[in-house]
Amino acid sequence: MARRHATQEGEAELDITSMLDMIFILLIFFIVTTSFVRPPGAVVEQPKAVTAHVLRSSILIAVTSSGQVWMNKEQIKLNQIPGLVEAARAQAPKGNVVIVADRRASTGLVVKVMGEAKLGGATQVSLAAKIKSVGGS
Amino acid sequence: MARRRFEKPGGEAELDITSMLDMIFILLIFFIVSTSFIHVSGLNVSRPQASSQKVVKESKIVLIEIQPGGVIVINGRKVGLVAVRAEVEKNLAGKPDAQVVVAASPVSRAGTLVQVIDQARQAGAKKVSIATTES
Repeated sequence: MARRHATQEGEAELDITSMLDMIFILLIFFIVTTSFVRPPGAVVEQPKAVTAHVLRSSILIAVTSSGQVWMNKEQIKLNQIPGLVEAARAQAPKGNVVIVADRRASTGLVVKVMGEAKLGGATQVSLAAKIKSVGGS
Repeated sequence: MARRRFEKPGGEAELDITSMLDMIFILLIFFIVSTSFIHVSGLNVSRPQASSQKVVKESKIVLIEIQPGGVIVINGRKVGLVAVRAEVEKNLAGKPDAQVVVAASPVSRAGTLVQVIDQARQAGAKKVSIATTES
């Protein structure tokens, strides 16, 4: 009890070791899980595919069912894609372009977006699809 | 200097970790704020480009055509979506290193395209390209 009422001159010590441990664990968790993927900003209904696999560090471009193209939470025009992809690739050189197309989007537009992304220097272009488990319907 | 260096083990050696703690907090907050838990999954596709178009022998490709209404045609035969896999498997058996090309009509749905590519992949196709047909 006497220790609790330590005066200001006395050295009151707080054991912060466990707090520090926890903060380090949190920090490491966030460092490891952080992916600097910027959401495209449009709501799309993705198709499902059995052979889809997780793609890492991607540049996302969304194509909606009404024919809009979205990137970085902004609606963009087709001719803006090469510049934006180039800028995104400057920040993340390993970033692959992933086109998040709505199930009902037209293939013509998706292929056009793909061509524009290639113009922007994308080496690998992927089509986003949700992973469907083999057993599930 | 003397006090710090020759501190006895019994003595209370203190290290000022305040600034380190501040920095760790700043880092922690930065990572908490910038984390986005977006997991993207998808299929890799390649697209034959006009500029770098290589002449691929007809015998080396399996052509899957998607017509405007979503009708799938392989080698001139209409097939249902579920039959694509079997049909591609059959075609690949004759020419194992053939490339699968999906020629889709621009007005067909992207969902159909993804499903056809998925089926072709399940059939064992290693490389799947997309092309659009005229009209």
